[in-house]
Amino acid sequence: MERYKFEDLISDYIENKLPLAKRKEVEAFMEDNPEAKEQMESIRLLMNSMRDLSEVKISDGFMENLMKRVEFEKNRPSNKKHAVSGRSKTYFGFTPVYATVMSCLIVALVLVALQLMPTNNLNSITIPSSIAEQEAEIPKPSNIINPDKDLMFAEDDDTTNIDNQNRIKNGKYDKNIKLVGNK
Amino acid sequence: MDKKFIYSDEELIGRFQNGDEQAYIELVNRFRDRLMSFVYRFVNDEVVAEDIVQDTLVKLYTHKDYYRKIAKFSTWLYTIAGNLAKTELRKKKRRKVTNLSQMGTDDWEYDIPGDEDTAEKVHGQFVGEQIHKAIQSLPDHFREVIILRDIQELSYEEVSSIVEVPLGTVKSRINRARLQLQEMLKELR
Repeated sequence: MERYKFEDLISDYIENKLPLAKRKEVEAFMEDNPEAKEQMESIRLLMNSMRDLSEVKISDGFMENLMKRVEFEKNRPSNKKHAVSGRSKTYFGFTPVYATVMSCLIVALVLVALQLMPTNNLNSITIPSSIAEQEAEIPKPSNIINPDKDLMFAEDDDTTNIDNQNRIKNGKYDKNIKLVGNK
Repeated sequence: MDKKFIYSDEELIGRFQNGDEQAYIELVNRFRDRLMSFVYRFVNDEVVAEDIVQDTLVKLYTHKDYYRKIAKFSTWLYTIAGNLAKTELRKKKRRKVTNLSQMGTDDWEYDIPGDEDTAEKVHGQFVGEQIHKAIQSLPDHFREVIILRDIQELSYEEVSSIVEVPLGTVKSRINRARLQLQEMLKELR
């Protein structure tokens, strides 16, 4: 047996958890190695000493303070809620109280939204009377040229007239056109 | 251990869950000193340890319905205390402030008994303090298991449940912790 294997088995040996064969192996190793036997004995003593360590007592005011804290926790709203949460019903994740409050809020919001909505038809917009009066005061001009008429004059002078081109293609020339070089 | 009581721990918590507040007082009386010993050896500060024990017992009150009979009551309670103690140790490490509670045991005052076996008692007290000091120098994961097993005398299975680590790992940690303590306390004999 090697040293590290012996050390792995020390606790099991002291607590009588080794099978007989292993136990004998450990004992044989200790016979051959006095320092191993000393180590085993030292750990056994240490374990006994730890068991005998004096108990650490709580202070005199401990119970009084604890009861105060318990009383405080008992009266805390969050804990009251926690205490009843397992038994109470919920609506969409809300407790009955919160569900009622939320419902009221939603109804109130809908009512406010309805109040804010315009009641008149958008097509029948009436012009304010002040604007109508101003419009009446503007004089109507008498010499307005018809814009369509002007456009017609412009078309007559246009050299890119499509009809002229067609006339040339058909062999009918305008009387104003003189052929040059065709004697 | 529980045979001297009329009700077992599990029966008491059952009664408390059904609204019997007297059962809570009985549980507190049974566990306050045991928890104090465990937490104090773990955090090495009496005031902090008492606060943690109080927090544990308040949690027992406020979270009583979280306990299920599948586990031993003591295991459940030690788990709460252990987790609170570990949280406190993490905070302490983050703060890295040396306070009076972290003084070496050499700085502590001893109550010297005045009767005939004074020498023996003083020696016992000295050994106890040296062991306590050695335990404090162990890594957290070794310290917790060695306190639960060798000072609180819980079974390996209970320790495994409390620290939420496999049984084999717990056994290995306890063995290695004992070897380290023995090495540290060699000169004590």
